[in-house]
Amino acid sequence: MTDLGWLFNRGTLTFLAGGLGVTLELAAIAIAISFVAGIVLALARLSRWHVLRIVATIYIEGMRALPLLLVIFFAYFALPRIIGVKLDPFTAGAIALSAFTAALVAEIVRAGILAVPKGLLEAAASQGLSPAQILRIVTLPIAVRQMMPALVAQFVTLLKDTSLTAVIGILELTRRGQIVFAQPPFQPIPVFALLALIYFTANFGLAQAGRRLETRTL
Amino acid sequence: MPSPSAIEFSGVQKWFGTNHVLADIDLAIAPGEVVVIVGPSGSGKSTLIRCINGLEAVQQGTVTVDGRRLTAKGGELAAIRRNVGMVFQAFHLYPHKTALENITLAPINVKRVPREQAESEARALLERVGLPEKAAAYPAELSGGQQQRVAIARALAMQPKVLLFDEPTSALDPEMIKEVLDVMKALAHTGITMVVVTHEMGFAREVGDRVVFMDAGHIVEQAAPERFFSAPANPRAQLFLSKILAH
Repeated sequence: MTDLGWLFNRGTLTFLAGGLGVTLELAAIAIAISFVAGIVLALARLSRWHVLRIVATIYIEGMRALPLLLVIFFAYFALPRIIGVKLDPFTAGAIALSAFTAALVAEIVRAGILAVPKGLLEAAASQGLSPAQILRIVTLPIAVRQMMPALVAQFVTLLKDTSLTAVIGILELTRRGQIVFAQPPFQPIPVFALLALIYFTANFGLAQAGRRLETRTL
Repeated sequence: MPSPSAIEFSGVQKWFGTNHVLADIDLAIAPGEVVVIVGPSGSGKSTLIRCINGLEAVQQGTVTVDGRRLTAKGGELAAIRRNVGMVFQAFHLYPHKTALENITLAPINVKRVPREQAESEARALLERVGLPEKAAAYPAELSGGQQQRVAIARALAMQPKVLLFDEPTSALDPEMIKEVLDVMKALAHTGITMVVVTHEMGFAREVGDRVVFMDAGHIVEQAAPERFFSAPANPRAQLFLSKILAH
């Protein structure tokens, strides 16, 4: 038990590090896509245009009602039949995580936008700024700062949820941990402890980065 | 036909639901005039000046600024707004921008003034409102009076012909009111057209060219400050003044 050489050797650690790389890459892609898509969805839901509002509302409420695991299965098994293109597990996983998180980000962004004081928008309008300029220069920057804590919490959840993509065969961190302890000497506890430490460190870093953005102004 | 007025209300009516907030408003303000609008809360003062830059739309009648009629159309409205600055009761400075950035934001983005020029003009404006050392400060780091002076500088940065003040000192502690009024007094002598909604009767008397008294959506009386304050003609104006000047 005291000899952990089977775990702390170059080969095993490289294998696990590769899994962390996949996890982080998946999370980074999904964060970027869901952030942009979430803003677009939030704006659509706040739009004056009726059709846009309904489409966005259906997407957001529908997606929020589904288990993420179902969305991952759907992206891997069903989506290729619909679009007629075969998707590798990584692509399907990235699509599922992005599409799912976008709906949650949209609600955070919408709340942030609605919380921007109306008087600020009037001040900007009274100076002759166009609605698009007001959105870009005033509304969104203020809204994003206000919603940073909720957004970071959502992205931490996303990073952890990348582990669910193990079910469609992505060799991310959790799946690789499973592979390691499924071999002699069959000891799950040290492996789980190491994985927990790695996830904690990654999410702690993510939360710290978010906090820094949050306190930069305001 | 060019209008000699800087601002002109003609037959303006406005309702909020069944509430008749502006009734039969006819008002012409000359270039360079300082008009002070007074009256009880809910009399329509704020709504009146918010019609001058289209923050409120009128339902009947016309409002023209510099001969241009305010319509709800985007481009034309933005063009009028460039010439009409506004200072709000709650300041409404952009909280994520420094004092300097608050002032340069509109010149850079609306008038396409080069950043360097906008910044040097902004520094001159901060000097003018007595806050040259606050260029890098964020609004949250400034007192109410300082924020309002930055807001005045921000409004001036667009070099407007008309400046609107919507109860600019009502949210301020008493000791900060003076610093804001002093800046406004200095402005009044520069030839800019000013329309000021305020409860500061001393300011109205000292700086105003004309006092407009509103009650229940109507302009009930307008007169030179001396006459208005010493001998108001309308009974409602008399009542208002007796209440506000009692203590």
